Amino acid sequence: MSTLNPAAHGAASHDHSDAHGHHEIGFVRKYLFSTDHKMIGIQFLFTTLFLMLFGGALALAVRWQLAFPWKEMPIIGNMLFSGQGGVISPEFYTMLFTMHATVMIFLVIIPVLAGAFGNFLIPLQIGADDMAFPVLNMLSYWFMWPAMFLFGLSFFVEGGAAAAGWTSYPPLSVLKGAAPGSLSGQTLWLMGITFVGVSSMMGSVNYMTTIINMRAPGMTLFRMPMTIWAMFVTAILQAFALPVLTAAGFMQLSDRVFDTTFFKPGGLIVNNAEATIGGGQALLWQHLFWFYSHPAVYIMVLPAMGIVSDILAVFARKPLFGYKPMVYSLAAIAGLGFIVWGHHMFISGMNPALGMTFMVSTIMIALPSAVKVFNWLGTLWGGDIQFTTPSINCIAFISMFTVGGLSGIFMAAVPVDIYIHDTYFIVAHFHYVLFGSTLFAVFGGIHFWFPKMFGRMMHEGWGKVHFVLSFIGFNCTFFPMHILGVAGMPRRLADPYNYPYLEHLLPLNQFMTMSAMLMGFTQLILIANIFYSLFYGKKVGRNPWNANTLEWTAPSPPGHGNFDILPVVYRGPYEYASPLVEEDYLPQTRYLPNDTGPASTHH
Amino acid sequence: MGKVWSAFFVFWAAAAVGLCWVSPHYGWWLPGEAASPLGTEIDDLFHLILIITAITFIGTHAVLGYVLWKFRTGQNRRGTFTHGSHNLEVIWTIVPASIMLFISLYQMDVWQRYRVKSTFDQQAMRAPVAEVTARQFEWRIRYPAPGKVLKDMPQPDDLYTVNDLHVPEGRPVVIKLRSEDVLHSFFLPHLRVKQDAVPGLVIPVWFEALHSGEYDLVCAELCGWGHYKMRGRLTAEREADFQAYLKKLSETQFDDGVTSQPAEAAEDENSQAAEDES
Amino acid sequence: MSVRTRYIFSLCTALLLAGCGPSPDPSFVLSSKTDELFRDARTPVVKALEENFGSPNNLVVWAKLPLDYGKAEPEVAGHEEAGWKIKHGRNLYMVHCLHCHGVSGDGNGTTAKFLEPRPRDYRNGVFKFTSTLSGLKPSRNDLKVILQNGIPGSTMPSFVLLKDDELDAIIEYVRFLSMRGEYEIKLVNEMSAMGGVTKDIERRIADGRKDKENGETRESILQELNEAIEGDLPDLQDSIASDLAEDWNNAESPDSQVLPELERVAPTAESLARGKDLYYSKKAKCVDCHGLSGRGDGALTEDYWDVPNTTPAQKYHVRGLHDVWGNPQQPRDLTRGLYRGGRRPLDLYRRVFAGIKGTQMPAFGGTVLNDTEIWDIVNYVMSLPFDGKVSAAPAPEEAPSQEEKVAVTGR
Repeated sequence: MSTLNPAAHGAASHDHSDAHGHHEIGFVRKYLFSTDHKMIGIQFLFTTLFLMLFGGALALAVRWQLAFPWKEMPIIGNMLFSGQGGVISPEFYTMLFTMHATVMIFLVIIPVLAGAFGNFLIPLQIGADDMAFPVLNMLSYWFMWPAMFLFGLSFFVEGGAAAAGWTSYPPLSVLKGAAPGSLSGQTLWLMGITFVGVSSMMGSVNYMTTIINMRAPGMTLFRMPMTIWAMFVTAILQAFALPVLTAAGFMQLSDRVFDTTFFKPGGLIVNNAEATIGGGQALLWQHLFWFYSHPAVYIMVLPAMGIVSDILAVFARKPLFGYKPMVYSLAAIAGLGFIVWGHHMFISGMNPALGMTFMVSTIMIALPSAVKVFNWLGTLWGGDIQFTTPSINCIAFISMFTVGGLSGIFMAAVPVDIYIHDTYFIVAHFHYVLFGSTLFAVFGGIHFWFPKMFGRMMHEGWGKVHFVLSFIGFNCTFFPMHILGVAGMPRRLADPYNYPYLEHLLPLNQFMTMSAMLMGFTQLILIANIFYSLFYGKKVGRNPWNANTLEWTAPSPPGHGNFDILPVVYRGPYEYASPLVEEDYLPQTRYLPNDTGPASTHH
Repeated sequence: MGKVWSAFFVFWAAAAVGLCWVSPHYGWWLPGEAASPLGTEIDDLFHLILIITAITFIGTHAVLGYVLWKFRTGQNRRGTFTHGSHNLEVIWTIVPASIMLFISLYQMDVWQRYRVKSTFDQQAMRAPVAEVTARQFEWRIRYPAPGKVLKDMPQPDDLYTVNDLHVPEGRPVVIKLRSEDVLHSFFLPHLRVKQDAVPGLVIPVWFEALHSGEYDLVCAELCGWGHYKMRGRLTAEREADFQAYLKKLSETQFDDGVTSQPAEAAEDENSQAAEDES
Repeated sequence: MSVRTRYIFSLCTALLLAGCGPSPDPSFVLSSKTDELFRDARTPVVKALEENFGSPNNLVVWAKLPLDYGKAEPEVAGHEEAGWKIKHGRNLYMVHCLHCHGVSGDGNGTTAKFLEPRPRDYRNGVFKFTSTLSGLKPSRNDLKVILQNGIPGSTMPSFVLLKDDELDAIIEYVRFLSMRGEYEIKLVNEMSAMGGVTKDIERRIADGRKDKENGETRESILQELNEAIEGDLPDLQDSIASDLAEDWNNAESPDSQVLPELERVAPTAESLARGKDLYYSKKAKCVDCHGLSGRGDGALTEDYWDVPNTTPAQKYHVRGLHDVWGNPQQPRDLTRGLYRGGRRPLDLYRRVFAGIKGTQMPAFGGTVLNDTEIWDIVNYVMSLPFDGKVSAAPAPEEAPSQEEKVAVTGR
């Protein structure tokens, strides 16, 4: 279905004689191996939500150890360490934070943004009946499962799961004797990363093609909602950055399995083994890894920014402030994102001249993000702001992203980074942008598009309760981490109180752990709300929010082919409070007498 | 309800600022005054950025709170139909850009003095105090014999110790940082010094301890299960004490159990490090 | 509330409570040899261990043993409760030592299997690097030195940054664990001698069945065993403890120390040459294990060795030497300049004089080699990291040459 022929593809019409011939498809083709982008998006959504709980549980274990070091850990202590009184071992701790990050980054955040929202929304918001490559789309989802299986399996092999951090720096990750997780766990980890990488690349190809080729008549590039722009730019980022990670992953796999020495210098003695033979460089991995992983962090935030722009406009009931600047900012963030990777390596021993160049580019990348924050505030200014669950989550995004962005400036300042690199200041920063920003936008997005996905509303009251508790729990857990970082508490220490200058930080850490528990258990409210609303939520029609974009013209949920009437677009997506009509919203597809047809230059 | 939400977001911002305000009082802040001159400059930069970001944070949240309050729904209003303002875009691009450019240029000099070898104190570079080799999970230290210059190859009269690095105070010193196995990082929080120990590289790290004292040495790069165990100590002392330490170390290291006086024989039974404990 | 809500609520509560359960209490593990005993012999051993040593969270003070428990807390007067010092030691041990050395000091902590060399199993009372004569226990000071210096070349780190009193407390607890372990082994050996091993009993029963008239019956064997145990056990417990106490106390005595009578022979070229000759000689035979170039690859590392105390003699599966803990043991690579027991000339003297307990490094002092010869060997060994040209020695007293002089004028 790669050409858009209005005559032949009126989707939900019953008697089109189509080449598909699959009016009655079985359970397996409909719910498991579906090629329908909506079903695939929903599959991604539920899978990532489940994995979010798992990744969160790993984090709670980390927090437990930091609050009650070398004391009995609930559940896990009993299961795995009963011989020593339920106290976890140091190598287990290294495995906990490694897999927490791995699961959250590769199996939750990236798939929920691109896989769940990207998949569900792109065809709907641009007026297409499905993605350009539906089978590839299905594969992109199913390639997640081998990755999940491999990561899961790694917990049960000798030595346990990978334990060299999600950053997986060699030689720790390539020398088998250097860490228990570097026995088989690390190999499985690398294989898992390859699968998620392939899954992402499949998605990226699909999204770019769909957005470029399959827009409805009248949907010019500058009439696309910000969500689509964000997904588009993100897809480009993935296409350019992922191959580098995959290649680096193969190099590390090769070092481990075939005894090559890309990353292994010679003469190293690990665990009393023979000295290594090699001529490789540990720093090479860092460059290759961060060349991908820095754009990756933008992959993990740009779609959320797009979602926030859309949702804020809907609930401020006025147009997005500065649409084109917002688009250019997205592009600037993405472009600059490719030349800042060295800021993860200021202290690594790389040439200090690079420190200077990367400092300048990193500081500059704060600029488009700042522009976006101001534009969001401008969007709210003068609006008629409705405080619904989606909107308050997105307002929280503005606040959290401001914190995350501002803390980034400290780290971009290289001399200051000397002190705060590898401390909890960094941990605070990335949790603010990934959790405080992206995940809250995801919460907002779930509540906002749930009616479109399932035809029912989520419970608004519990949605707000979930937000408030999550917000409080989140900030009480992560804001003090800035302070811990300033106090010099390094990351990844199983027992920071081993050091005299950190001993006094225990009470603060205990408070943070309690908050983290609150935050963790609060997510069960979201899960409960989702499942409850699936069956008992209030049924709604096509456009419960009175929004402008194309997905709200389709039925809730849309049938196969999405639109019963082929959309034709007459204007941009943010014509709220337009003087042309009495209502405070004006859908993109609504025809007004003065519209000059699809090629209108109105916006 | 809008007022509640506005208050909610303003309250959180105030709480965040409040926490930062009271934290130094509880000791939840920088670990004391920087104990090195470059550390002091780093702290100054930190505080400068803190002020700039605090102003931005407070400003943004003040606007956010105001907007949520003033433009909440339920007042029978219609949103202002505007798509943006070119002038505003220019202003809020240029102004932050200038501030950021200022920040980045202002501190180039500090970075250069910290890392560019040609700016290091040449006397200190010619005579490094010690070679510090990080390994899983300790800091192995090799001093040259008193009066000699540290060579890359271990010398027969080199002095070895572990985890307790002594340096003279009040002048720049250089250590040669190496790693025997995986990545580690040499972090002196009180002096604001940090440098990754990279296997395959020998990296000269310079610092100056302003005052005598004992400072924590922390490993700041994940190096395995014992990453948290790599606790070390920097002991900065007066030059004379430092020389005396090296002399004592030499005597202990080449102790044959006989040469020293009988009264001291029992003392020498203790490890060389135990002596330095007191 | 509605049925639906009630159902959801109870489901959530059930899930949450699933995590709760009784907290696991750590306990000392029993040695594998104890498990080989027949029930009648095993039970008294387990009982004796519990009575005299307790469990990690409920330690017992046994006055017979030379341990500094520290006074019991005042609140528990009139009640034999372990004192503050041993508890302090246990707490520190649990934080710093547990995950390698294990709850019982058996060298089998969770991290242990990933380490090379394996952490020490204290339970046979053997410690490698000591200042005492061959066959004797380590002194408290020896253990302290190990804690302070670590064991370079292994994963035993240096704990020099812990306070003195903390180190003392840990040392007491380690001695406690060692004494407990050795007590267990010795008691088990006595039980074996009395015929308490399950295999032996089963064999005797099987033999007895062959001779129905005069052969032993199960009842008679067990009766004999129980009578022996009942008769001898109390005395055995006491005598084993006394022996242990004597051994450990002996180690503290200055007479047990290995101290050279002769000061170190100057490491001249002649001394190095003599040392080299001795290294290759039939008298010392260093070369057999440590190899022609001192890399620890001597001829004896090629053979398959017998496992001690096995009849018929079994061989180790892995080539080369093994220590008493059954781990493969590579002779030291002397060219690296890395000495696990300390790098002082005194330390190397002690290794040669008294050997390394628990390993195949024999004791040469007082019998095979005299002091001069030992110093010559030490000088030679300390020159191996420098290609045998010059031995590690302090810098000469005379003023260093101008180019090399460090300008330490300060400010």
